[in-house]
Amino acid sequence: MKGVVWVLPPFCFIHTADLHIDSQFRGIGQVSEQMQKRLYKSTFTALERIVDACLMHKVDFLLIAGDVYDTSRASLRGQMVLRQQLQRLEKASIPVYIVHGNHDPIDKAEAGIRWPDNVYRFGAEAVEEVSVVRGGQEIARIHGISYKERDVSRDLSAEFVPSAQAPYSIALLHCSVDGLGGRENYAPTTLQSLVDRGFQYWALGHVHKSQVLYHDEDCCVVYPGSPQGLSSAEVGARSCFLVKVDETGATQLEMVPTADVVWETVNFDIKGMDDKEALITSVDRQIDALADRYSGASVLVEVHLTGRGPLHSWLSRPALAEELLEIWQDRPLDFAGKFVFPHRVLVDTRRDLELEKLRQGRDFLADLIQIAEEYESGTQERVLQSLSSLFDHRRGKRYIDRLSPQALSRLVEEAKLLALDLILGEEG
Amino acid sequence: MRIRELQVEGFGVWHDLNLKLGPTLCVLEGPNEAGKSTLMNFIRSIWFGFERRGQAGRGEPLRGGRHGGRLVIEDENGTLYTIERLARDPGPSAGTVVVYDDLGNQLDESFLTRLLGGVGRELFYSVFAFGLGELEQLETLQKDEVSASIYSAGLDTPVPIAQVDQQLSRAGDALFRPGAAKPLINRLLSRLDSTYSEIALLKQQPQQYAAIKEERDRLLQTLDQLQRELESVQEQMVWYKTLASIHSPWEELVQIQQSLSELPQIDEFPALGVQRLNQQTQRVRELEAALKKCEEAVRDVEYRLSQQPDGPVLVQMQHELDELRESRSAYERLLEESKSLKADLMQRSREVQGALESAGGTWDEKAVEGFDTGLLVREAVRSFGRDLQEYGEQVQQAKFALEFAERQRDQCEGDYRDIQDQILALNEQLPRVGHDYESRCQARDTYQSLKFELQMLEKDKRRLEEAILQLEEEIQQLSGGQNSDKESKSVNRWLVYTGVTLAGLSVLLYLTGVFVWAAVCAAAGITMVLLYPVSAVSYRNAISALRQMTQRELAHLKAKVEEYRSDYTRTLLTIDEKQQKLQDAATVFAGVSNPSDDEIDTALKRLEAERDIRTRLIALKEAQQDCRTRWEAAVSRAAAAKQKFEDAKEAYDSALSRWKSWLQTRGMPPEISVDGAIEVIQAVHAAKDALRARRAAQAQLVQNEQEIAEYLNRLNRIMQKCGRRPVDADEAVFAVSWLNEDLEKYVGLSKELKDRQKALAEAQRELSEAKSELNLLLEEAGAEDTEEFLFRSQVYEKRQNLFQRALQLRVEIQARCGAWDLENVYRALEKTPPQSFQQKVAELAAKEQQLVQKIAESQTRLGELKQQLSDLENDERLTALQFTADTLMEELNRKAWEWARLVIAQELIHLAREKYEKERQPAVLRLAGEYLNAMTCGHYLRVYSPLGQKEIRVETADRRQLTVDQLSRGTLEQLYLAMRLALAHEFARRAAPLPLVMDDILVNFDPVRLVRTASVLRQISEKHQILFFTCHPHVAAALKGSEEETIIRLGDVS
Repeated sequence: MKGVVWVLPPFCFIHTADLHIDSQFRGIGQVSEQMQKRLYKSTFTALERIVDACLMHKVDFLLIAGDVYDTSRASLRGQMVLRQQLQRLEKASIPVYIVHGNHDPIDKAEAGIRWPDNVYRFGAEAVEEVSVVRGGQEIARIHGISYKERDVSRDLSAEFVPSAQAPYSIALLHCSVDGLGGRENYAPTTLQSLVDRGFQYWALGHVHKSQVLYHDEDCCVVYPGSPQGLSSAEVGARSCFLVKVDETGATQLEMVPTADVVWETVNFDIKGMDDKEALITSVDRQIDALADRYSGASVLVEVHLTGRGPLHSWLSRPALAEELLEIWQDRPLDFAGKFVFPHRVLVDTRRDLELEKLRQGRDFLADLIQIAEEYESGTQERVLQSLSSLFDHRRGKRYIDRLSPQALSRLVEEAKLLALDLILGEEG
Repeated sequence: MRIRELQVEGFGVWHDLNLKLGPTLCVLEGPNEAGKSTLMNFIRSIWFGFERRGQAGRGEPLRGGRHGGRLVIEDENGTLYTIERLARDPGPSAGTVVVYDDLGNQLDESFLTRLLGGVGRELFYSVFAFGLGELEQLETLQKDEVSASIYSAGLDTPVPIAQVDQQLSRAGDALFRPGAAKPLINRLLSRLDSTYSEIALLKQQPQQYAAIKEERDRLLQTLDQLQRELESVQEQMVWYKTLASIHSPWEELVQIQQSLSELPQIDEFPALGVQRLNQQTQRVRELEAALKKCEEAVRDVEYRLSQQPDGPVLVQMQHELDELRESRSAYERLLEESKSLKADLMQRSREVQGALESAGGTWDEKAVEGFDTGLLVREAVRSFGRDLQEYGEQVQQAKFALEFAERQRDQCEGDYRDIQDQILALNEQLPRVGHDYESRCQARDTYQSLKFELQMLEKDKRRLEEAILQLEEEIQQLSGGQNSDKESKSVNRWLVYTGVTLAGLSVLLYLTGVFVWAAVCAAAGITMVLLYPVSAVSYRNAISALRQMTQRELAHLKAKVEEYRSDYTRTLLTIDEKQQKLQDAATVFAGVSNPSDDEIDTALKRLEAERDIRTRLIALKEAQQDCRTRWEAAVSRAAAAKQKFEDAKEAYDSALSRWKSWLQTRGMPPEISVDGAIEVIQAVHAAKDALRARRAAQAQLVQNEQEIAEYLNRLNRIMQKCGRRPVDADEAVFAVSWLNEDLEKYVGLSKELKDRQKALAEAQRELSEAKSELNLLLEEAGAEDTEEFLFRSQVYEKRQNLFQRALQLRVEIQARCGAWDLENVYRALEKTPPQSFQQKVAELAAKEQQLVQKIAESQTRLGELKQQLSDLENDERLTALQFTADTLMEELNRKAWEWARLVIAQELIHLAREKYEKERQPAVLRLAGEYLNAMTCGHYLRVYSPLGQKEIRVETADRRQLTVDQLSRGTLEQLYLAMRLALAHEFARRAAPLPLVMDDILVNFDPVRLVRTASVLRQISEKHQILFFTCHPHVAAALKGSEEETIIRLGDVS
């Protein structure tokens, strides 16, 4: 298609994905009921902002590349909100094109939701194509396929074939490109194969981090990311893409912020710091600074204290993390408006240990280090035994994540440091 | 660390005890029940808290004081700390502990734990503060904490492993304990269970929603159908109801059409014909009646005129009659006035008579006319009145003054006589004695002054006697001191004594008037006192000179004694002389010779009483004189008043005779008073006025009667012309009225007759007009007569009404039928009998009600369903709960991780300890072996624990290895003591050495081992302070290492 000059009516659309309405929020500390409400409504708000953007920019259509909601957790309320927002677009005659992803596979029936007439959902049997017509003239053709079930291990992108007659071909797909976004059972494909398929725009979903994988005059490969961060790991601003296509078929991307609540982390290294007040003030200041960074969204902050330093002994005191959290939480809060709120404090500091020296001694500590480091060969059974009262507990098994061997190793390592810490007493 | 002081406020038998302790081995000896164990418990309690209430060893104060006290301890650097623990109520049973540093600052409670180096209660009670009971019990060393300490001792970790183990265990348990409810993880698990059960319920919402929606749709369809049915039924009901409602109008319409066809054809008729006919007929009748009335009226007036025959004469005399009528009211006034004048005349005559009577019987009209009642006469009478009153008052005043003066005179005379009587009575009271009063008073004064002099002389006599005696003593002393060498030592004192004595003497002499000798003695005394310091210095040199001076002094004193004695004799003589004079004086004032003291006293008192009487007599005589003077003055005042009274009486009598002669000249009786005369004059004056008024009334009456007669003449002339009888004065007024009325009546009737005749002509004209109009109306209606006119009118009106009614009925039917085709309606009406409409309507109404009911039910249900749908659509609970579950899961996983870390750390420590215990022989056992060896004189070589076993063995000198069961009681106690000492030592390696408190633990030791053990304890006490309580003096003695060391005896301190 290179070298062919198309004369097109210019148009624009919004591309989003991974709305995850009703999704689980991960990595959230204990927060008040008001805060909870604000958080679980944040996915609704993000959707509302996307629809606002569609209406404001008078887009020609909206693309949603999968994971609109989490089927396993879908609430009626969530679906009602979805329907209400799509109905707003229906009133403005803006069509919506949706493919289903691994979290909302098409086979899992929705709870009697009646999709508005402006919504077109692609089936899961084969790639379908739909023309978008404006004023009697086709402006774009959209190809798409939904997930039939949660796991799709075949490369669905390979089934996409653009039409030669289409003025502008868009591929709508939920997939993992080059291993991005986790395991191999999310229609895995490669960037190269996507670029080679001949679509002008690959509207992808699945990866929660916004990224433009490819963008040249002939092809764009775009993950818009989740419009609302869903865990403390999904830090930073969230957005959807406003895509403008001009007469020549050139594609221009513009990010539209969507998140109602932004997740952020304040990392603080205690190295060389021996003043508690200074630590508290310094972190407090960093938290304050976040308010200015995000103008349209509230910020949930996780404070991560790391490093080795004299303050370690103080920080490792029981319940100190909670005390610090209370101190940093002591700031004006407007749950209905904009706020900056630290939701948890993680203390991951270390004692200034000379492990090698300790290891070489012929005393109790050397024995302890040796036992911890060789636990896999000798004492793993006893360690697991000691944990069984909780981890093999009827309810424990149900709610607590299984310990992977890696996690166990990490635990033993942490336990070793804890034991050494306690035995060696306060520093200084 | 060392305990330097125990301060017990109240603990068991101890109360307010303050015990200072040495730094090494302190032996506290005391008999049973002296409170040794109590002190040990006190130390334990201060460190670790009081036992629970009711438990042994809690040490509730038995002798008062606050429960608790203080330990003053000294750390390795010599810093002092005070640990204070006091029980508080309310408060923890362990009491409240506070630690102060040497500056009094309060320290963190954790400081206490640090001081103890992590040694817990169990360990402390077993190893550091124990009695024989604990020593003998193996279990106390097998407690976990202790046992762990034994085997892991020597690990030399900064924080004891056991402490870390405990810490981890506590932290782990706080997070999770199988089967518990309170730990955080247990709670999170429970909350998650309940949250997920709720979520599971809420997850049914979509299915519920779909089911409700389906029901709603079905219901909407049903509702639609029901609505349609209802509409059809309602339409039918309207049809039949309408037919029923228009049936009767329709029937009426049919009848009207029938009636119209039967009536004659009259299409036109005068408008309002009957009404107009009736009106016109009525008018003709009324006009005929009016004509008749006019004719009757003319006749009536003509008759009444004929009844007034003198009318024409009255018309002629009208002018005169008018004059009489006009002056009628003046005539009436004259009549009235004459009547009142006559009555007035009568009244005046009575008044004249009354006035004459009130002036007195002698007065007649003539006398009255001649009597002058003018102002001058009245003034003269008043003047007489004033004179008589004035003179009368003067007589009265003079009489009062005379009576007053006489009363005063009599009173003064009485007073004088009273005083005279009192003087006589007092004179009677005066005593009758020989000497007169003045001589006796003089004798008394002499007596009193002599008595005083005698007292003074007696005093002088006694002083002289004393002075003589004193001088004789001094002479004796002076003459003795001259011969004695032994007294030379006291010469200094003598000088002073003599000086002082001379000073005293000089004062005495001065007092008795012997001034020269007084001055001499004073000078000598002062000299001697002044000599004293001189003599003290130069005593030996001056002694001879002094002796010479003494000789001279002696001679001088003797001369003085002689002089005193002659003075004394003189004094005695004077006393005798004075005594004689005293007696004489007493005789004079007592009235008896040589009176006794009592008689003198009585005489003195009598003299006092007599003086009082005489004083009163003098006063009374003065009063008598005064009274006499006043009496004489009163007598002369009474005489003057009498003269004045008589003068006044004479003046009054002269005025009275003048008044009487004036009365005689005026012809009035002389006995009349002034007021009476005034009354007579006033009465005469009134009688004169009454006579004048009677004369005026008589003149007026005569004039009136002339005018009345003239008026009557004029009237009677007219009466005569009219042929009527003449009238008298009283009838005249009425006669004038009657004549006038008759004249007016005649004139009125003449005028009325003219008017009636005119009205009659007018009525005749109107009647003929009305009759012609009536005829015209009959012609217009095409009727020959009124009867025909009325018939034609009825027919016409009936036809018009039927047309009108038919039109109304059609409109009504049209209105009820609306857009329906009326032909169809009429056909239906013709076909259907009317009674079937109601039946149809009733059937349809029942059906309608059923349908309405069904619709209402469906709508209610629909409302419910819509509400349910709306509730489900807006229900955020699932979202909220899922979120809650998420956060709980997060928290749970985090806490589980934390718990796992703690548990694994603890497990690692256990593993490491096991390894340590297995591979490295505990240092404690090694050291315990050494101590046991020393205590048992080398009988036992070492203490050890077989590998992997928590059991203690001992090895004897001959290499036999014995279990603890195989040891004698004494040896076992030595082993356990050795182990405790070793443990204490071990702990001291990590923290500051703690003091050891032992309660009589050596009683089972044989003398040799006792001595060896004592030696070991002394050695250890260099590092660990030991507080050793015993009730055995031999134990105390064995422990006492040197003479310098002291044993604290508790019997003494308590």
